[in-house]
Amino acid sequence: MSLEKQLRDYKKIREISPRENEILETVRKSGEAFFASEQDKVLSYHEFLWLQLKVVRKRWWVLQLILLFVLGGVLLAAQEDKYIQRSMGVAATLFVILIIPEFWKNRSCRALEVEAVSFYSLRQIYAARMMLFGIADTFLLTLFCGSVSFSLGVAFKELLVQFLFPLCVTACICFGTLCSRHILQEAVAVGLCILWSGVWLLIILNEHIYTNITLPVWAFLWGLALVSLFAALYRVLAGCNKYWEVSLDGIEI
Amino acid sequence: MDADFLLIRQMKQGDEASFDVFVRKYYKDILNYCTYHYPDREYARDITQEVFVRFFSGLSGYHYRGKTKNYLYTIARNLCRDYLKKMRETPVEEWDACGGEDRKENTMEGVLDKLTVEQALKGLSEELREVIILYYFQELKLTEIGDILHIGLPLVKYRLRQAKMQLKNCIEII
Repeated sequence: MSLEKQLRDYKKIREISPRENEILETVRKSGEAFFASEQDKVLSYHEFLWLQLKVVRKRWWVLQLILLFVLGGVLLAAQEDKYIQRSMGVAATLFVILIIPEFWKNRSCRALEVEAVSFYSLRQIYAARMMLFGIADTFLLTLFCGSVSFSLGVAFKELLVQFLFPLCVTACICFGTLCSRHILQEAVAVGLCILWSGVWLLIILNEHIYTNITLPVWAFLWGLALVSLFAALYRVLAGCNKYWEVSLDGIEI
Repeated sequence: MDADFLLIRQMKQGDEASFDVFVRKYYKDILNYCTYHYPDREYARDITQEVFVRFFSGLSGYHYRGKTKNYLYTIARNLCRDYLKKMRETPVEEWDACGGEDRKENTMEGVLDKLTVEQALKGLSEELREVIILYYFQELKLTEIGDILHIGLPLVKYRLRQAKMQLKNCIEII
């Protein structure tokens, strides 16, 4: 008898059939093992970001989009009016003010401690919100600047000075307020932004001051604003554990 | 991409009906594989169950890359190795008693042939015995065997050749 035949015959003899109750038991235990491991599993970063995206209220992005549309419309209607162009800074301030509610949400809902004990830390939650707003707003602003520059012929330098610079400074004020040592309300952040908007209007409407500021100075100020913004963002993320409604020893502030 | 890809997607979404389909698809093969490594049928059944439990525990992290069957065999092989390390070798006489209920051939000749092959298999090294089990008893392709054992195709062919040579010599002597 050949080896192959002997091995085939051996296989036929040794082969066993599974019992139905064993299969059912295996299916049951496999299901339990799967669901138990799913319960312990922490979300991946992508899944977490996706969940945060679903939680963030989209109305603010819709309002930002509407604001940019209105601004575009105003610029189209008053193309030659330099003062209208210079007023883009006011719209820029308003654009940034619209992100304040989402970043103050956990304070206004008094949910800081709840979020801090979740699987993902407060720092990660803030980072996720910053990333989502950063991506969405960068997209909206790129679209706006591109269309305004292309269709209305507004120079990039004008956009940089009239729109992006005040936007950057407003964002610095926002995040600077958020990472402040004192727990400040949304209204304080909004108030400071409006104050800045007023100061900015005074600067741009004053021909004497405005015309004396040359492009290198604007570029330097813009660079400074950008560095301050990143510093404020870093402070928000680094100081997350200080934003408690009660102090760590349990005594209410 | 084969049918297992869709099945695993459904399983990852928690569809319990697909758990049942999956287990029924591979249970018999894995059970028989385990019995070749461990003659005690009850232990083999326990190991088979453990194979599926381990697979399902790690299902969320499992990324479909080729045949799931090969992955199950890899888990089974590792478990069998671990179990065998813990247990003492079972005497040949007890194998016969354990397999009595499922014996398909009960002629004297059949029993003698079975014992001859078993003795010959015992004489092989673990690596060569593994290739024989996967090729002849589990009827896997050489490339699949290479996947499971994490060795190249030339080495699979070499081991198979060596195993067949040694089995022939052993059976002739017996």
